Amino acid sequence: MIIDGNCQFYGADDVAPLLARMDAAGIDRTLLSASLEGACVAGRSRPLHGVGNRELAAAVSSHPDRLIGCFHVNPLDPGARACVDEYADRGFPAVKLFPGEGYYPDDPRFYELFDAIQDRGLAVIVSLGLPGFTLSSEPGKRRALNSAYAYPMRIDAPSRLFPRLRFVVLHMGFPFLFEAWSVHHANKNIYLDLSGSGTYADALPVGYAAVGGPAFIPLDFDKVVWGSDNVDDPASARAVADAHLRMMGCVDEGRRQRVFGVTTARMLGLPA
Amino acid sequence: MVVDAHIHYFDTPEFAEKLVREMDEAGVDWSMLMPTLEDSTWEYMHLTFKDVTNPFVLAACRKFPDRLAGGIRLVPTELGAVTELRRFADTGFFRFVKLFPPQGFWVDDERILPFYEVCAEYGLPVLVHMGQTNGEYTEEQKRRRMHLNSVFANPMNIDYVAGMFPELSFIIAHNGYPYYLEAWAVAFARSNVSLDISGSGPWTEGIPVVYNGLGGGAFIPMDFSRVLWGSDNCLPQKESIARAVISLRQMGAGKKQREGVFGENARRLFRLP
Repeated sequence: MIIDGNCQFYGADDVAPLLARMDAAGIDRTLLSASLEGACVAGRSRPLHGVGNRELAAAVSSHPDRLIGCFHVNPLDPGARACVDEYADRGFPAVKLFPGEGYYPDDPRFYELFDAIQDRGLAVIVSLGLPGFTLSSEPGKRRALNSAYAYPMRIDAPSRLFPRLRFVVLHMGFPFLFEAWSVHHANKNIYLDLSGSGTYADALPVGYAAVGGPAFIPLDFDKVVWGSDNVDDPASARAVADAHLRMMGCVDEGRRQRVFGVTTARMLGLPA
Repeated sequence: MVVDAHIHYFDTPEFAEKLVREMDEAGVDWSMLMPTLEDSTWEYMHLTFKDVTNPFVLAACRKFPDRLAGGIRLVPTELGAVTELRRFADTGFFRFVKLFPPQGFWVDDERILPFYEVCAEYGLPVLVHMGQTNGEYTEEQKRRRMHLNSVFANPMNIDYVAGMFPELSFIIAHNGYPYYLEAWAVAFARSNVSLDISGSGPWTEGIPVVYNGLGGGAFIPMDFSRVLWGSDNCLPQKESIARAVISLRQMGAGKKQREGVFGENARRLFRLP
């Protein structure tokens, strides 16, 4: 089974092309995450619109055998707890956090929210490090994410307090790689994501090898997952990720294969 | 002289006696003994700790005053920390202070500057755990929301207090793993900041690997006269020394410098006889 563990929802119009890309690349299922309204992403002439939880839920319900929903929540939002309940009830197995929206994930104010997420058995996909997109501004209303909130060490405490939660650090927290590898190594419930393209992906094996690879921090490749991150050619992205895994010392083919599906299924609590 | 500059007191049977026997076998003259976090676990060692605080360290040091020197561990933001600091410092059996920021405080918190004043008054160097911790509170404590957080342990937070207290020595434990760059930079910039090579696994083995990967002394020169060795209970002292020798050689430390790391640097810093 091949699972794309990190793909952003670009709107209802993108569902058919996404399914076509999945078919072409032999991807069985995709963990599709709600996006931020107004996000400006590469290859799109306009900011994203209609990409929130409700629109995502509609898309997922239309293709429940192919798309797995990951809803977005901002813990600072007074409705965050209700949002968790609503989408957990709908069967979404994961929630997406963007600390760059202006909060630290280890803020004690969020403990009750993490309690709820843990009790519902959800995984937490966290955008840490520099995001690969910007936010559009409107006249009189500037918007931007702040990556200073997005250091991977900020999930050290939540992972300890909520040991049944599974956290996924997207893009290995690029460029905060040392922190991401370290919290992954120290905490059993922290997974690393090997998705993206260009510098976000290419830097991982290069940076890891430059500082000694496993002689510095051994990675547990059974806690590494892969995602296409919306590239046009997921099959090529998979091949590149497979090469990157080998370069990082994951020489066992069976283990590499698990990165592309089985591990994600286990992390999400899905049938293998 | 050989000094183990980083070792914790455990509440295991005859801990102090066994430690001294191990020191004899390994040729270690002094061990700098400090408390372990109470109500915590070291999962990989299958140990849970209770009676491991300052009074127990004091008792061990009283028993072996010419082999064990104590470290006072306190949470400096807690009420009464300065009083406790004086109480234990006045016994004469303690030669340093240990801080563990993952308990939830910043070492550069303005409120604890008076604490450092007292450390300076007694001439007690401050050994600070920096970087990732793999210690953990017990499940019961975690149910009460007690937890550790490595976010508080970035070596760059020592920069300010090292500047504020130039007469006070600070030691960055574990080279600040994984924050090596910050640790090396602060030690380079502040002559009153030392680094320790203590622990095992990535906490120690990563040090020469990353240092050389980034260019070694051409990146940030390391003053080996401000580097200390400690076993940190992870390995038998003899094995820990053997491994640290290799790491130091790989980092470019010559024989004389290595001898300093294993003894003289600590003797000078902790004012051992």
